[in-house]
Formats: sequence, structure tokens, C-alpha cells
Amino acid sequence: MSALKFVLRHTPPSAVDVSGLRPALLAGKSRKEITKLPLTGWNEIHRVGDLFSIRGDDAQRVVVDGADERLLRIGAGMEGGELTVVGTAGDYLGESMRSGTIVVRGDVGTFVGAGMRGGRIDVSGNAGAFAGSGRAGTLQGMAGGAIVVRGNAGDRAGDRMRRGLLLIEGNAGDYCASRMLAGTAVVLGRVGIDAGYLMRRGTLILGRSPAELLPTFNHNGWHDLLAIRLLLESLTVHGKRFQSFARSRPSLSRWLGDLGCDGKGEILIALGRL
Amino acid sequence: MLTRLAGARIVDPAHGAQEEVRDLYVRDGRIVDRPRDGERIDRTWDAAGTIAMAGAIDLHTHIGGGKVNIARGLLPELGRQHSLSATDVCGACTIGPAPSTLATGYRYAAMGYTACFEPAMQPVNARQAHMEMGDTPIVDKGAYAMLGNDDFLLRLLADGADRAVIRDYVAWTLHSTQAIGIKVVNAGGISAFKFNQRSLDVDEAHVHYGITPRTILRELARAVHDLGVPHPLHVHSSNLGVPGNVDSTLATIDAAEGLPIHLTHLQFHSYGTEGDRRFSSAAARIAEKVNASPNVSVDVGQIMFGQTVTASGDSMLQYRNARHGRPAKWVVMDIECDAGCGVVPFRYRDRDFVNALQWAIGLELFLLIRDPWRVFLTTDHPNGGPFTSYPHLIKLLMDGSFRKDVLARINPEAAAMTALGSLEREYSLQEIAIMTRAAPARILGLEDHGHLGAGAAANIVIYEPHPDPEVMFATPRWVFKDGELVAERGEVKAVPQGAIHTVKPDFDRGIERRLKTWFEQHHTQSLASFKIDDEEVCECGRAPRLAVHACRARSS
Amino acid sequence: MPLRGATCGFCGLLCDDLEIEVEGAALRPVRGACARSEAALAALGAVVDPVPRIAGQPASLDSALTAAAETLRCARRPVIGGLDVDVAGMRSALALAQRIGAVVDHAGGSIKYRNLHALQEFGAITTTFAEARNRADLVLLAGDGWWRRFPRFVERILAPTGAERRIVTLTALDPATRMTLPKQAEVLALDAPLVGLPAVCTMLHALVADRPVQATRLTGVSQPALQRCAEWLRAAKYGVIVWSAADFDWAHAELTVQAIAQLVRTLNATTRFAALPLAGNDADLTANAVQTWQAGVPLPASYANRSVDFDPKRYAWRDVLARGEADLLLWVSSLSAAAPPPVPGIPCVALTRADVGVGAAAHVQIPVATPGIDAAGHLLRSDKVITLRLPRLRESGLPAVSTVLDALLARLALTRC
Repeated sequence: MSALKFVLRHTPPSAVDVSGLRPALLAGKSRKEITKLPLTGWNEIHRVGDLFSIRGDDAQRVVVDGADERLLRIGAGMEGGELTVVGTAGDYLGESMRSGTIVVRGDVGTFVGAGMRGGRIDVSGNAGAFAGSGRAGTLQGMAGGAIVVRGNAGDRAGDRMRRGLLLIEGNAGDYCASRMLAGTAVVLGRVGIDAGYLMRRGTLILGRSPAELLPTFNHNGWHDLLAIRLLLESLTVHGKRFQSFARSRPSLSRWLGDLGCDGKGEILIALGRL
Repeated sequence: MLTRLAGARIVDPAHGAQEEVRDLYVRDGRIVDRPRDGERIDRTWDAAGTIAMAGAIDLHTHIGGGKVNIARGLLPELGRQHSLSATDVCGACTIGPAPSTLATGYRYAAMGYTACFEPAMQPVNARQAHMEMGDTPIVDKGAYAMLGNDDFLLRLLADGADRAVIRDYVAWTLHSTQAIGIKVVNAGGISAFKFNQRSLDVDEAHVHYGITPRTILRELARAVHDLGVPHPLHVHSSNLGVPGNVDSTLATIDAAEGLPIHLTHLQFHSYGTEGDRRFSSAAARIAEKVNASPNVSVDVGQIMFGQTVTASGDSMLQYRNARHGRPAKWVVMDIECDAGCGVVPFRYRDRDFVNALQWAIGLELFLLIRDPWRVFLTTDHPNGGPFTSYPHLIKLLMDGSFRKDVLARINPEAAAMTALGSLEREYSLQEIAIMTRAAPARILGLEDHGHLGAGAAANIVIYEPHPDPEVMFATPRWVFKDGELVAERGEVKAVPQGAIHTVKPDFDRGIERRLKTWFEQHHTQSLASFKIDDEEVCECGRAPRLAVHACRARSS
Repeated sequence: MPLRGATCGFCGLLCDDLEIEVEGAALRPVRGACARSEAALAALGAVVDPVPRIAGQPASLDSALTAAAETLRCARRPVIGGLDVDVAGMRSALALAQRIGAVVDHAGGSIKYRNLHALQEFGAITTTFAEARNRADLVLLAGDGWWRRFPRFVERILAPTGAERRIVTLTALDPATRMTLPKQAEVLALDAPLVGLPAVCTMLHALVADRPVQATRLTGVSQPALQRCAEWLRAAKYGVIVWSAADFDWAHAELTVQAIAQLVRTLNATTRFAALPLAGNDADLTANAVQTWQAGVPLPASYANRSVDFDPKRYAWRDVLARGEADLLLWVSSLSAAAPPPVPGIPCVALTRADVGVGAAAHVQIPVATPGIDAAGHLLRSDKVITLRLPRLRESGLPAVSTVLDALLARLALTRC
């Protein structure tokens, strides 16, 4: 059995919800049935076979090749299996997924892993704004699982994050970890302005010192707590850069805030590492 | 155009009909006794073996007005998950915890409801309420204007104004807002909250005006009665949702001094403080009092398990209860020297002690209040649960063994604290027809609704008998609105616009001089801008007609 | 010359005390008009005989409707934008959106959404004009342009006597507006830079909640004024904080609105305090309210595929156009002087205010009645509770927005592309 592969034939005229191309929904279906599955565009229902050429047969390993930013909600609601995306993925990749793995060889749009509960998303390129956040109107962002972004993330990474891990190897944009509720976000590169704005709880670890921290965060000393060390150690499974970060045993400057909110969050800033 | 509905069993309590089989005739949207001599029957609907009832009437359902729209805007993530696709006659819309107006009209009609009454129209928000009701298709509509927290009335009462002045003001409000009744919500309490008073008992003085809820209740009940408005003062009592509020509810009944009053969502006002959790059912005490007080009618405000949103004018109590809300986001508003509102989402859970007991208390009230002409079937939509749960609620009332099955599944501590298991009463079809048709029409003064006699609006629901009343009531075979087929087996077939029901009691327009000064000194719109005339309300409300119901002034 | 009472729809205050002389098309304000409404009245009063245009050439209304219907009929992915219209106009726009499967958004949707986001993801405690006018003993003002957008706010809400007021300017006020503040009011100038507002709001929250915050880390404001402001907040009996989301013109400003909402909620634990966002310009609240009640979800919305969906991150009209997904722009405007934005590559049908020229931006242009001038109409006021009827002032013969859209819908129903 080889991976079930969907190769995009042409860019659709408007965004298409392709959450139907996830292992659980494809399992047990014949090639013919899969070809006829409907995918919703804008006043247009595409058949899978019209939009994609299909190869392979193992529905537990799905590949979307030649992805385009008009493909929305790739892997949304996944409940197991593997999904590989080659190309640029659209918004809401892995939204509300519960388990399984999504690997993206390329960039993803906004709201990657929005509201996810479990599983793992690994993006080789950049992620748009609101990585690990939640759809508009919801009170919680991701509540479990892990998102790893090898490139940069946009603004509001980890917004409203409730649980789980958000790991960014590159830089993150403005208002990183805004309104964070719990969980752990790590940015090895730089962050933009106002990180941790309205942060209630949770941990934001920064590999580089930001130009300025919000005045409603209080300095709480340098920390080398066992808990933090264990946390850093646990990151080593997520790749070399996290490995070397953890192994560098960075001295962490701890800031508590946002005191303009509940004030029980922490920002840990690595000093003089690597 | 003459239509015959042939062979249905007629359940029409207003005329004492106990499931007699006879034909119904409809001419030009009205029920007629029989065809004229030689008159041709244009169409016959074979209804043999079915049950016919008048269109149902919901006398307390929050279908329009700013607070419902705030609730919709507050919960888009839930609304979008419950999408209704467009059909050839229906528009696309959603039916979340606070359903869209379109879905509200479609679903009410498909369930056999042909008239709905918005119970908390704030006078300053009346235009929008009529607009939202105007976009609620098919069903007829009407609204109760809220008074009793407006600074103008509180000032009058504090100054000991003459009863005639209060009466004129109440009548002027009915006219200017195009309402069919008057509602009071937490008398004085919404206003007191603006002065940072956090609770207000029936005999406690408002911190600024020095008057008590008892005075407000008595004077409003008196004014409504004297004006001859058919619907008694509609009362949302003090202390909504507060353990031990049974005392203030009983005091509220006494405050009416024997004048007619309607106590709404009584379930939320029937709580004691017994037991380890200091929360218990006081339904028996309340029911006893209601049974002994012929001047009192009630609707229950049953809670149903699941996600909903509460939208109330009672800003004081909504603020107080907000911490229990889920999802944890809420809105409280002070409104324009007129009233207030609070919007708090709730998720009622059958495993939760308080929610489970609330559920049981509502059913206790239904079963312990004896006269079906004085107790109405409501969930206080959407506050206790969505109106779409009515068929389930009817089953709980009609089927004792089903009720016991559900009781066995709720929080056991709550189940142990309710007398529900020992209440054997099962509602009959006749009683359901009374509480959902005949009685609401009578208490609202709708002469031509809620019955199937000659002259009535041809709002007719044809049910197929089914051993499960929930199935039967959820999807009637046919629903006729003013003689037109609007729904068939749950599917909407036509989308006409309903009428607006109002009352226009006589009064002395001299009150406007006083009001004009008040508006100039305190308001941010003119008196002229505030008033809604007949033509405008029909435009806003997209109403083909305004149904003005008679008032018979009474001297006190 | 007839003098007419008028209600002004050119900002969200909906002042209903205007008196305007009407002579032919000319509109001369005699009482109650602010600079904003004077400008609009002058522009509208100067227009002589506006006519529909097809490809820039004058045309009859009938042929313009036919051309517009043709264009609409062939569209598969239409966007309906603008929407500075009255309730009836919005009702008709939504009926049309249902028919053609359009994405619908108000021109100022992203501005309105700053407040709506905070509402949907936190909540709000708000108040209305008459409450503020009669009860507010402390008023906080934030923003750098609300006095231009809502020119009579101070005069109508803050200046009338009643309550003894304290006023805090969180950010600097323009001198002219400062002069209009009530004489007896005690004024505290915090005058933080606008970009510092996010931090000012959270710092004030930390101070009133007695959190162990280092207030001196907040730069750009006077420390004594900051401390004094926190004291005033705690001492207020009925405090009100006023802003216009249009002034919060930076990315993620909804977080600042949420910070304000959180501050207000905390203050209510001990006293009464409420937010009073100024809004409603170009009928943004009207459009959103009608959409919200009819569909159950707010703007921006998609009516594609015979169902309605809401997603501010996907259906914001500018973004949809920028992504190149739409194949038609239907611009529906009646209050604003703004022309439809040129969108290369797709046709545009524009309903506009009579004085607005569209140039080459629109294939079909139909000038329409402005509510409160050429036709009666209903608009929602800034505080979201009051809807006022704007009576008609003059006989211009311009068709109402709803009339034009209903006619388009009727023509669409006749044939399909």
C-alpha cells in the first residue's frame, strides 16, 4: 500500500474547504467514491477528482501535493493518521484536530491548529497569524497537542492558548501569546511588540530578549528551576534547534504578568545562550 | 375561496370540543361554520384520522429586541455551527442558542405555532424589537412594553403622583411603542443597580427614589387593570435565580392586592434554601399560593438541558449570575433611563445539582398548579431552553413514565430533593391544547385566536396521532396560517408575514406635556422621535395589518 | 422657504433637533447642524439632477437596472460592500445576497470589528447616551479623532448639567474640543500618546485592582496623573469610558478594546462603570444589526452555497477582493461620500449618494436617495439601543436603496445566466 496522494490539478477560482481529505473520512472508500466526494467552494461544489489527480491507496497516509493557499482547513478535525502537505497550505490547517500528524513542507496560512485538542502539526516554513489560537468568537485557542513552526510565525501566535505546545524556531510577530490561558509557547527567535498582552496564565519562553516588555510584567529574578529544566529537556524531541537550546542550559530571566489581567502568566527570557 | 378540512378530530377547549370528528371550513383566511348555500368548495384536505387544534400561541418568548440581538452577536461561533440552508421559500440562516429571526419564524410555524409574544420590549428599543419581529416570518407577533425601572415612572411614584397620571403614562407607553401589554422586570431593581444597589427585595427601598418594588407592582397592576388592558401586568419578580426567592415571589403575589397579575418564568422564582447546598424546591409553596389565588396566572420557564443563552432585562440579577455562565462571556447594559439588560450564556447540565433541581422545579410547578387555564407552557425562550424543545417538554408533561426515566438520569442529589417522582399527574391532550392555545389567547385578549370557532383566524394545525407525543408535536402534518398552508411535516411551504397585535386604551393626551419636558431635560431624543405610529410600525414590522384588541376601561 | 425638522444620519449620534431650510434641492441648515452634517448637506444640496450611468454615459434608471441585473446575473462570486444604508436598504441587500450567494461586509467592517471582537471573546458592560448624560460623574475619553467623527457628543451628552462630572483625557484632546468641556467639570489630562493606549489601559487596570505593578515602567505619561486617574476610577459612582474604534487604527486594536472591557468589569465589582463606544457612522451598526438578527451571525458573512457563514478573518471585503476570489463588486452606498474602490479585473455595480462620482470604477452607477434627505429611513444610533426614523426632507425623485435592490432582485428572478 502506498500513501493516498492528492495532486492539485489547478488552482480553484476561490477557496475550497478540503477538510474532507482526512484519513478517517477516506478510509474504506474506493478510488471511485473518493473521486466523487464533494468539496465546497464559493457557489461551486468541486468533485475531488476534478480538483485533484489521485494516486495510491493507503488512507491512513494522505498526501496533498501542490497545495495552494486556497485550500482551506486541510486536516481539520483529524482523528488519527498522517497527512503530508507539500506546497502552501491555506488557513485553518488542522483546525480542531484531535490526534494524528500533519507535516507541511511549505508555508501555512492563518489559524494553523486553531482550537486543536491533540496531535501534532509540523510546518517546515512559515505560519500566518494566529497560530495555535482559536476561531473568532471562541474563548480558547489550542487545548492540546503540539504545533512546531520551523520558520517564522505571524502576529498573535498562541493567542488564547489553553494547553499544549507551540514551538516556533524563527521569529514571531506582534502580541505573541496574547490572552494566553495556559500551556507553553516557545519562540527561539525574536518577537514583535507587546508579547504577553492580557496573558492570564501559561508560559512563554523567548530565545532572544525582546526590545521592550510590557510595563505590566514584573521582573521575578533569574530562574533555573527543575520544572523549567525538565520542560526544556522535553523539547529536545522536537528537533535540533530545540535540542541545542535546551542543552545550552540558558539562564532564564522570569517576568510575571500580565498584571493588567490576572497576572499569573510568565515570560522566560533566555540570556546569553548559545 | 372556500377550503374544507375533512374528518379531523377537533380538540378545541375554548368551545369544549373533546375530540369530536367534524369538518372545518375556511373562507378567506377565517374559519366559518359551513358553506353558504350552493357555495363551491375549492379544495378539500383529507384529514381523516388526524387531530386538529388551533395554532399554538407562545405568550412569552424572547424573539426580538436589542438583547436578543446582542446574544446573537455574542455567540457567532455557536450560531454558525447550526446552519439552516436556504430552500425555495426560506432564506439561509442559523439556529444557535439565540436563533436568527428567520429560523425563529420558520421553526415556530413548522411546529404549529402561529403567534408569538416578545415579553420584554424596552420602550426606547421598541422600533428595533418591531423590526426583528418583522423579520420573523409567518407567525403573528406582539410585545409587552417594559415599565417599572424607567426614571419617569419612578419619579412619579416617588412624588406620589395621582393614579390617573400613572394610568395615562402606561396607556401612552402602550400607544407609543405599539405594545399589547405591560411587563415589569425586577421592579425598581434594574434602576437601583444603576445606583450600585446590588439587590432589592419587595419591601426594600430603592436607594435613590425611596420607593419599594411593592409600590411599583401595585401601581402598575392597578393601571393596567383600570385601563382595561386584557393581559394582566406581566411580572418578572424580584430576585431571579436567587436561592430563597420563594418569599419575594409570594410577596409579589400579595403586592397585586388581588388584581390580576401574570408571573412569568416562575421556575426561576421558586427556590428555597433547604438542604446541605442551601438550594431547594419551593414549588409546592408557590403552587399552593397560585392555586388559591384566582387573580394569578403563570408561565413556567422550564429549563431544558443543553447550551442556551439567557437574555433578560434584569441587569441586576444577570450581573449577579454571570459568574455561572458558560461560555464565560457576557454583556450587561444600562439603558437610557429606561431599563437595562443582561445577556449570559448558560449550559444546563443534567449532572449538575442546581441545573437538575431547576429542571425538576419547573416540572413540579406544571404538575402542582391545577388549572391549565392559568399555567402556560414556556421555557422563557431562550433563557430556560430553546422553543424547539417544546415537543420534548410536552412529552415530559403527558408521559409520566418517560418523566421518571429522565428523573432517574439527573444528578441523584437533586433527584432526592424533588417530589417529582411522586407526582403521577399526566397532562391530557385537552389540557395541552388549553395551555398552548385557548388560555394564552384568552389571557391576551385575542378574540379570534386560540380556537376553531366561526370567525377565528384560520390558524389550524393538523397532527397525526402518535404514541410518542414528542413526535406528534414536533412535526405536524399540516400547519395553516390564515388559511394558507405554511408547513407540512416540518417543512416550510410558504412564508407569509404575520400581523402585529396591540391594544390602544383611551387616555388623556395631556400627559404628553409633562413627558415632553422630561424628554427635553433628560433624554437624548425628542418625544416625537420616540413615538411609533401605526403606519411606521407596520413598515418596521413588515405587517400586512395591525390587530388592535379591545380594552374595556374599569374604574377602580 | 419651508423650515423642516430633521434627523441627521451623517454620524452615529443621530441628532434629531436639526432645522433645515429646503428650497428645491438646496438644503440650508438653520439649527443643530455640525461641521460634518453641514458638509454633507452642502454637497447633496449642490447636486442637480443626478442620473444613472452605464460606462460613464447617462442612462435611464430602467436601462441602468437592466445593465446591472445582467452583470449580477453572470457573477458567480459576488461581494456586496459599502452598505451605509438604512434598515430597509439592508433588508433588501440581504435578500439579494441570499439570491446571488454573495459575501457581505460593511465598508467599515474592520473598524466595527475592533469592538465586536472584544465583545465576542470577552463581553462588555455598556451604557447609553441618556445614562451617561444623567448619571456619569466620571468620563474617560480616549482617541484622537472622535470629535470629528461625532462632533456634537460633548454638547449633547457631556455638557448638559445634571451630574457633577470629572473628565479624564486618556489621550490628548484637540484644543477646540477641550474648550467645549463643561466649565464646572474637573479635568485631568493624562494625555498619553495614542500608541501607548494598550499599555495605559492595562496599567490602570493593574492599579485599580491593587496589583503589585511598577507604574513607573509606563513611560510617556505623568506618574502623578496616572495615580490620580486610578483614584478617580475607584471613587467614581457612575463612570463611563468613551472611545471611537475608528481612532484605534492599529493592528489588533481589539485587544485594547478588550483591555478596556476588562478594566470596566473589574471596576463593577465595587462601583458602577460602563463602556460607551462611539459608533454607528455610515450606518455600520445598522447593517450589522439587520444581518445579525436575520441570519443569527454578524458581518462579515458569506451567503455562498445557500447557507450563511460568519468569519471576520475570511470574509472581510477588502481581503476577499485582494485574494482575487470575487468576480463582481456590488457597492451599495447612500450616506457616505466615499466612492467604491477601484478593483481591477472585475465589474462593479455601484449605488451611490447623489453627489458621488465613480469615474471608471463602476460599470453601472445608480444614484440613490440618502436616508433623512431624499427618503425616510431608519438607522441605529451609536449606543445600539435606539433606532430613529429619519424623515424625508426634499422631493428629489431619487429612488431608495431598497427600491433599486428590490428591482434588481425582481429582474434576476426572471432569468438565469
